[in-house]
Amino acid sequence: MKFLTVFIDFKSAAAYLAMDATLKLIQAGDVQVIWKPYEVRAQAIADKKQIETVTESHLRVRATQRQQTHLKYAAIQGKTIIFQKEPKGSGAALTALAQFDGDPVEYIRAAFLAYWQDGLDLDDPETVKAILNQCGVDSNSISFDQKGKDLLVAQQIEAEEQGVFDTPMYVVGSERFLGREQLPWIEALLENSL
Amino acid sequence: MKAMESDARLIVYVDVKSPYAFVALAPTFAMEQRLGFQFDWRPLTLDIPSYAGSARKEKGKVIESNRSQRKWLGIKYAYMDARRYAERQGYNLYGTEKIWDSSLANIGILWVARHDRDRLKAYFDAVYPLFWRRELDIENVEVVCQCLTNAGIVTEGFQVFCETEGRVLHDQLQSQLHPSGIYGVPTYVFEDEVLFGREHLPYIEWRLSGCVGAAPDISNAL
Repeated sequence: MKFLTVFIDFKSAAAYLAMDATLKLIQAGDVQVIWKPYEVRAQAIADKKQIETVTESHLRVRATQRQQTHLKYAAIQGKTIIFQKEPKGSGAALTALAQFDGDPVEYIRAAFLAYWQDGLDLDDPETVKAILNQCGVDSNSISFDQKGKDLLVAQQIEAEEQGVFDTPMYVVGSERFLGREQLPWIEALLENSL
Repeated sequence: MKAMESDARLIVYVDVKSPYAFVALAPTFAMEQRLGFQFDWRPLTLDIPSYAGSARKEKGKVIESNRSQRKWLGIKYAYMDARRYAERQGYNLYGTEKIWDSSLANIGILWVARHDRDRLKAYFDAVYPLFWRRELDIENVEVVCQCLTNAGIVTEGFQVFCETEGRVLHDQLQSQLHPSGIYGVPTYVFEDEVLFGREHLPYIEWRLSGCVGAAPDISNAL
């Protein structure tokens, strides 16, 4: 059996759009998957200023284009994706994922939909508890206090020590891959066909 | 030259100093061959310090940098990722020791497009692999001239072109890029679309060949 670690953040549109293709890959092979949280930075796209530095212009154009690209492929996948003017947080949902016992796929799917379809704030423990309960998970088993947050921070540090800096990041053995566009290589690695 | 306009059905923006542009060449040329028409290849000279910070290395060690740890992780990953694809294509790809000014080599793209478009791939073959083996000083116009010669392209007037019309064309193009939504390489422009990254090639080919079947998702060819 092969092992695949997938780092995700619910507020990463790229991670959301990678879910179906990732699950398809997993279901096709004899792969054990470990889902891990990694909190990315999400910032509102700055308004165009009359006078911008090259840096400001680059960051604004890049963020705008990325958003449009995500919208395009969401439409191709038949998914709803709604970008908020001010991105909401995902800390509480990631804190729950860091402590998850058992297969978290149903919870991950529900949390992604809550964020990208319903525009919910996944930094709110009550919202996340409702999602957990909806998935049949006892939300009382999850700590959203400092202990839970510390666990997420520890996993974040551990991830960065492995070279993780964005999501979805896939780790197979010692190899890292960012983005679902890398799935052909990952699949070949898992099948030993490279 | 307008950033979004061309007689060709697809514009491709590349930069000699981009590892991702390097590994995008083979699949993009393969697609050009399959589709059976020429693309309009153009230079985009990246201003790397403006968005990724800057750093200077000597003998493989960073001696000067203003990059955050997360940014470093991203940059190191980008080189590692491009390297594995380059190696699959049969090339070496070594990290650069400094941030190069690639404008001369990129003006060379404009020169080739004007004088001998059919030899553009030969020009890229003369520049990219050597540059990424750290064997080419792309800031030296005579070196770029030699690459043109190696690719079988006329060089008479190239140096003057670099100082006059070629430089003006290059610089005018760069100033139009951000307002057109273009910020990195490789970028593909066609009809109403601007797409950054070779992972969009399946979708682009699907669009340019008549949208037969379901639209494909992003994917890097192995």
